[in-house]
Amino acid sequence: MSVVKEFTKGFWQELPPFRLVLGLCPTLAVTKTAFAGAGMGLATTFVLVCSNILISMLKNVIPAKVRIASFIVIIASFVVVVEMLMKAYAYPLSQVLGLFIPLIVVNCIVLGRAEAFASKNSVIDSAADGLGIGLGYSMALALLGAIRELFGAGTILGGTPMEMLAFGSSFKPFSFMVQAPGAFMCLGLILGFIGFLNRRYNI
Amino acid sequence: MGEIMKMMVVLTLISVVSGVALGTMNEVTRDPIIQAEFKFAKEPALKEILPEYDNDLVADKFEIVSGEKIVTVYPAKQNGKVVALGYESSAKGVNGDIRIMVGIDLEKNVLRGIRVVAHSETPGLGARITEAAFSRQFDNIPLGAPVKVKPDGGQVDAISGATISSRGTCEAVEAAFKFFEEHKAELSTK
Repeated sequence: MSVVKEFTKGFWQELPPFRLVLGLCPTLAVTKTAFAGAGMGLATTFVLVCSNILISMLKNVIPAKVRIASFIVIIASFVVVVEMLMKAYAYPLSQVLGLFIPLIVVNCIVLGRAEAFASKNSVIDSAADGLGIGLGYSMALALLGAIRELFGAGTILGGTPMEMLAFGSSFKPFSFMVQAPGAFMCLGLILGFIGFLNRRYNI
Repeated sequence: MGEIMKMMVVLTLISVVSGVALGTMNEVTRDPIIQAEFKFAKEPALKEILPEYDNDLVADKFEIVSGEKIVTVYPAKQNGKVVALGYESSAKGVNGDIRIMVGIDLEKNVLRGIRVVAHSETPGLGARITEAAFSRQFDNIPLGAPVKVKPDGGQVDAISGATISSRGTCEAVEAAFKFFEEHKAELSTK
């Protein structure tokens, strides 16, 4: 029962960018398209699940005073693994995400889950926690990317084989939305909407 | 004392395991990464700037040591005869190196064309060096001829607001010519 709860909390109660307002650097920087957002989210998910499992396994071995250093070494190793795998098997995606893949190391969600959850809970719970938070994060990034892409470039699923034009070819893209300020505005509106839901319907 | 020893041992062990794992991973992914880079970044550029060829560029590629750099040269062959060469050259841009792929036509002794394969210039300004309107200006320049932007007394129209990036691209082309001149003997024997 508790495993299911640890898994599902990442989709709403502790949805990182929208409910906890964590991990905003990649949230704002790489969500120009839904494809890039989802790719970034899944890369982060991989790191989260692997580092959560390993840290949970080692929680009784790592002395408290050097735990942060140990966590960072473990997390950084998995990030480099993701970077190499992505370059080898998903090269176009790695070109889109660029510098933001190595920056997963300093994504506060990953270290946050290690410190707040994996270092205190069982391996199974930690894996469920990492997977839930990671998939929630991926969906949030994909949603933000889809909205920005729709208005900023006029495409749906751009950069994938299923790319299509949403408003026909005469649409003039509202390019503000794919630039940095557009990300802030879009995120702000989503946060506002979630706040409204929260107050009005108490969910 | 015991606690300090334990911290040292644990942290060292974690680092060693991580180092070994990453080293292994690097070995495993090295070849796929080289292949992916070639397929997605270099091959499309080479196809556009080399004439028709009937050989396997990857199988026939060779490396030449030039100063501190190792340059990979892709020879385009027709019926077993080398007709053109493709290789990378680079020069400083505004934010980092501008890397271009050049196609050298050995029969006409001209630069067939260039494609920018990697750069970190400013989006909207310097990044426009990748546009065809700019890179087409380098088509059919005779080998060894000076390549400069118009403000420096040359023939290439610089992108407005991005003179340094435009100049960097010209310098990369001149570096490619210099490389060809210096290694002519080596290049013709391969």
